[in-house]
Amino acid sequence: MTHLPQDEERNLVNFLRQNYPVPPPAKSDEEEQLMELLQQQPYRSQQQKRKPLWMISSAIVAGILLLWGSDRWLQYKTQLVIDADALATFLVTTWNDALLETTFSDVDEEATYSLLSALQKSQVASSSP
Amino acid sequence: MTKVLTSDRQMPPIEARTITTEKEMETELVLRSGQGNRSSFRQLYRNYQQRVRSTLYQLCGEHMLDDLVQEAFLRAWKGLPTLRQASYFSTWLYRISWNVANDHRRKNFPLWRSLNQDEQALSNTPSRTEDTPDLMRLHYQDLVQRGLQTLSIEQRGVLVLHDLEDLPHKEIAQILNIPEGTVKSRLFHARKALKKYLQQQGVSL
Repeated sequence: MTHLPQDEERNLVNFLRQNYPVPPPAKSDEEEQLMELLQQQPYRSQQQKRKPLWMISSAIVAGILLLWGSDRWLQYKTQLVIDADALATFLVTTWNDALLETTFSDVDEEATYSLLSALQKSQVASSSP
Repeated sequence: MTKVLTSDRQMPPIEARTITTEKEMETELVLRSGQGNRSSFRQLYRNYQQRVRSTLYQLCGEHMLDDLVQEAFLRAWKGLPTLRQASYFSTWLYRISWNVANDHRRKNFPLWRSLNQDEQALSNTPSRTEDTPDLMRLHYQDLVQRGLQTLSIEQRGVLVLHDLEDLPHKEIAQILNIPEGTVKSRLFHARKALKKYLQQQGVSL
């Protein structure tokens, strides 16, 4: 990029300034029209204009709190699950123990019955001629 | 005599003091307008109406000029509460005017093109040598106006703000949101093109 010679540049700028196109005059009631238009415009203060930004930041904070809360809740739920597992294990163990005890008693009962039946058979055999 | 000189040195020049006061007054008007004070905004309108009108006229021509000026001030009123630095009001208002001109160009592109074509057609007619100075001046004004219309909106914007509105490169760069180097480059090409156009119309520069 080369500059126009300074004289030419100055001449051009002077010519432009001397023959500056003048805009047509404004209508006499233009100012009043504008003021009426402003009256119709609801004025929004800086705080109101910044409302969306404030709302966004609040939403972000609320989101973070929600995440933190849900995390805490999940941790608590996991703990519940762990407790439930422990309970289930306890129940199964207890139940098995109970079953085992029952089985032992059943075995005893069977043995008693078998002994009784054997005794009856021997009695029948001795009484017969 | 010595006392007077000392006193003169201590006091800032009257012009500088006046400018500071004017700036302070304007800052106050801007702040009040931003708080919804319509009478302050009316004063700002009176201070800047001519500059905004002139800039928009150079950029867009006479068509819908009143509406464009109104639009610029309406946008300023709506945007004032968010203006962070009241001292930049002038630059900011020029920027709004530039945006209004650009939006107008986009919305009315076919009309804009036809107007420019009319301007081109008119410019191809040989220019007359006028007799009276007044007519000569009107003729030159018309030539400058037509010449501006031949430039791209980007070049025209820089030339209008620099050579006609007398704004410095730095402020134009802020208004148009472009680097200062781009302002200088556009100004160079705009001047070159306008000079060529004016010479073709018989103006000796």
